[in-house]
Amino acid sequence: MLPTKTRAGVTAPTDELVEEVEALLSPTEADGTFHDTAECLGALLGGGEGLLSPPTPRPKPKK
Amino acid sequence: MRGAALEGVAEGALRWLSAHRDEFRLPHDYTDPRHDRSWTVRPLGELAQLTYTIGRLSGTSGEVVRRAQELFDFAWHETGRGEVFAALVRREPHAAYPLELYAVFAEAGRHHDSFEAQMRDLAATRAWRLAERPPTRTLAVLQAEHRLGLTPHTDRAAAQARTWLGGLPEPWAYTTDTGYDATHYVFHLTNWGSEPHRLPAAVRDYLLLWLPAWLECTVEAGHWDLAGELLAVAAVLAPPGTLPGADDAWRALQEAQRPDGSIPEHAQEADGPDPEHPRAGSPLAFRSCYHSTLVIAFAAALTSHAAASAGAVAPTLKEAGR
Amino acid sequence: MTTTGRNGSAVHETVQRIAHTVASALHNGGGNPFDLSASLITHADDPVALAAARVLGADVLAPWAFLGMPVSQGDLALAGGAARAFPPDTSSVPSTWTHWGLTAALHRAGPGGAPAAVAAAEPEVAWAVDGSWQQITHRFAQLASLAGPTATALLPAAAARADDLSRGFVRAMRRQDWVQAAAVGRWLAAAGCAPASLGLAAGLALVAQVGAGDARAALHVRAAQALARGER
Repeated sequence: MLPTKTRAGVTAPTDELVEEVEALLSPTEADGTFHDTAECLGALLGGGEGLLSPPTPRPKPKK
Repeated sequence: MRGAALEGVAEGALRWLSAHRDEFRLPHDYTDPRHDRSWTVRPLGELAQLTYTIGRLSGTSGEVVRRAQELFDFAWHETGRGEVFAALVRREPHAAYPLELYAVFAEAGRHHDSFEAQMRDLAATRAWRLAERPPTRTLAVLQAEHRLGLTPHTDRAAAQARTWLGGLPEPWAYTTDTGYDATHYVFHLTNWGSEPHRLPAAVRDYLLLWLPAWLECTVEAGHWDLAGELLAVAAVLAPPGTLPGADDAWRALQEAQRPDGSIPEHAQEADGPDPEHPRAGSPLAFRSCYHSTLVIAFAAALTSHAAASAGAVAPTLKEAGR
Repeated sequence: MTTTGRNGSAVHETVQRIAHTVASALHNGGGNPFDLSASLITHADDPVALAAARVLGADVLAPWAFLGMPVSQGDLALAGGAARAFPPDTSSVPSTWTHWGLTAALHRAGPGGAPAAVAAAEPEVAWAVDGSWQQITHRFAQLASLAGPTATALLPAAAARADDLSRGFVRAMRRQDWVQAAAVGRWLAAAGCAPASLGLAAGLALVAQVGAGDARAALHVRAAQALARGER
């Protein structure tokens, strides 16, 4: 869409630009990223398991 | 009426546990080191502890109480009335886990005398006192000593302050690991929710502030097992309906619970533990959800009990067939 | 926070450049003169520059507002042009508030540089009273450019929900939404009543280190730190 000129002769922003500005002003939330330590949990338990501690780690299922 | 939906969650979970109780049975050679304790005595011990607690809660349905008590009796029988623990510590004289797993039976008035005698001697040694443990595990050991009437091996208040939750950390440092540290702090101090008053006031206030944020993130991430433990903590903290977000979390867990009453540990496992091995009844299927199913039964029963005690209404859940 | 998929657009890039420049000024103090329009090397009517300035709102004048640094004529023209070229969408809370904030800052920074409608009343804050903690966190984060040395009705509204905004901060940190965390942290710094157990300063310091991917996060952190120091 071609930019339109206002009566003052100044180029008004395109609808596209206005839309982009409004979207940047009221962004939606991005999906959360939940990173936990990759340190092996088993190493922390150190011989003997605790009751109802984090569930015993299992091999990750193949995707 | 609304409380009935929450009870349905507990009933469903306990039905699954009852139907699968044989999978908690120990191998005949359970002391053999080739058997990972995490998949043998530990699940059995967890079954015992949580069904004991559930079976003593008022405000839950008759079916919930009955199934819980049956499962507890089953667990005691499966330990050979404690002989399993005695055998384990004859083989592993310095291990702490047998004491931790046994303690609920002592509390229930079921004793194995020679096991307790051996533990009494062990717990009096320097080595026991000096054993290096994660701080939250020390609370577990202290709680076990307490239930057996043993002298505590260290100062409890100091031990509490050394834990992640007890030290009141920045709440934005929450991760899955610290989440479990926090829930276990509460479980050990309150004896699995049965003694809420033992939670220090400062920790209670801290949790009232930050638990809603942790719970929301945990549900968003689809970590049903940890979400269930956080909801158990919520039931200890405040009357149901007062902690922001608990109702929403319960709805998410109810949604995640399968028709057979089990609930997967994570949302990503909703289709089964491994797409290549979807066989129901396989050991893999049991391992993938016994823990989270126990947890949701426990949390639901605690919540119903807390609601009944407070005269409040249990969380608003969708009726079946939504 | 995310855009509607326009990462890499000219406006997005210019927003990042402006945010980075402002953040540096807030962090380093009033050493070098601040002239945004000169550093952008653009003409006053450049629609992309105006769009980016409109997005950042009052923050294009933050070095003046927070540190008392002189405002260049070019920056007054940029801010004024942005306000004129992008009037508020009156159906949008963030659009109305950010536009109001921009014109109010312009009015204070350079009399004569502001559009005629500058004396408009503040937009409404009723949404801050009843919204859930998740909802108000999201909203206040969008309005972070209003969290500055000059108070509006947003400030007591934020203070009244300090516990809930703090929960929103914790959630944003856990989700690694660094822009939202910094923006909410900025409100908490402005209100000055986050619970002590939150550890806001340490949290903001962490965002400054791990949130470098988005310059808006850096901007909000530096603004929050300036507010906590009691600048202006």
